[in-house]
Amino acid sequence: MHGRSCSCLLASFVFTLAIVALILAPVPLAAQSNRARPAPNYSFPLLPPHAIPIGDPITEPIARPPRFPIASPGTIGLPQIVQAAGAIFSGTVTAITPRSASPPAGRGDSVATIAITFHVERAIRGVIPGEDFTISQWMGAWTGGQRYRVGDRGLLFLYPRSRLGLTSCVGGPIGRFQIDPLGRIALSAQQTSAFRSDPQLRGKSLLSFRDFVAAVERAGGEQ
Amino acid sequence: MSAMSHNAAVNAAALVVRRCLLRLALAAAIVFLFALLSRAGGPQYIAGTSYFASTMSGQPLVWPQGGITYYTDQGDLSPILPNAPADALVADAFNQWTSVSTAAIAATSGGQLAEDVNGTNVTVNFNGTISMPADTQPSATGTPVGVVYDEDGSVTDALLGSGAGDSSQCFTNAVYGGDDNFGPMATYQHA
Repeated sequence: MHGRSCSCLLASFVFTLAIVALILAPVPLAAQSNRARPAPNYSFPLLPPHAIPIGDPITEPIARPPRFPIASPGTIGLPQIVQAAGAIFSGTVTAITPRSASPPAGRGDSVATIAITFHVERAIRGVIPGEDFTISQWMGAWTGGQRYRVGDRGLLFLYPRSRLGLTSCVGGPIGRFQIDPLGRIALSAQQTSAFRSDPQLRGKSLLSFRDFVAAVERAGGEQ
Repeated sequence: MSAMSHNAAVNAAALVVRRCLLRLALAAAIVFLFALLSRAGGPQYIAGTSYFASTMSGQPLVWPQGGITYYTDQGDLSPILPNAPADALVADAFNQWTSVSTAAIAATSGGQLAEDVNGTNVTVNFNGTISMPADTQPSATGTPVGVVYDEDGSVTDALLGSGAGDSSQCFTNAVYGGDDNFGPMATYQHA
């Protein structure tokens, strides 16, 4: 008897709770958009033109990973990435500085760029281990998604500097690999999808640094 | 005997009701849990606090009046897509998106940019600054969306790095760009 009373009481309580929860459920649902992507300091745009606050400029406004692996049109393999790269290295971002100097008179607005300094840890091509390597990137690439945060660690494939002195990751997100706390190279869903035909990287989402370098060297014929 | 069977029937009915209530409660709890975990599409950006008007904080960024006016390059996109067919391609692409039944936005061609944007007008100045046509810059709110046809890849080469405009890089660099100027009232001003 006692047990039954308790069960009835419990059932009634849970039922009441569930009904209340059902009524309130739309409230958190409606608020999720804001909760998912707060961009409190996305004052990135030209406040006065080209005054870009850089206190925490790398707030990623789109925090959602691709829902499905993104299949790139055409095929791509590690050789294409390796061949296109002028610099390949792992390192940590140590400084980010927007550049917006005025152009000479009569030349209109200057194209905004941003300087990103890396402390090079391991060098595969085009840089020296231990050096502080600064690149200049077109701000359009930054707003298009190629963003960094001081302290970011990764392995980058960068195009050779252009005639304007600018560079960016080869293939955008394809040419930028995350390094996990154990020092392994982690492939994103997009990279895994892009390299699905690559004999070196096919089906892998995590490689040791050594294996990755070996794959890069094989792909580039740099042995 | 009769009282006993009556009690048994009552107990059985109570058990059924209790089980029913428990199942209902469990189902409701699951619905609630998944409602909390689920995420709707949501806006790409919402207004923050340090630049946007305080009244707009937390509001999704939108194109003013729900309309995009875009301007296209005067040059060709490629040997097989000269200017006019390229314009048609762009119009069709916009149409695909704005025709989505839930889309609350319209896109209209505003005409052409003032020039053929190519490698000759994306240049570095003697003081190291970089110039490109004014109507393609983030500050060009009169041409809120500028579509550049980079026929030979030289603009891409210049902006993204040497070789980025090569045909071998089309898998990722065929189309690029992004929103680059927002208004304080939580609007897109240029992309």
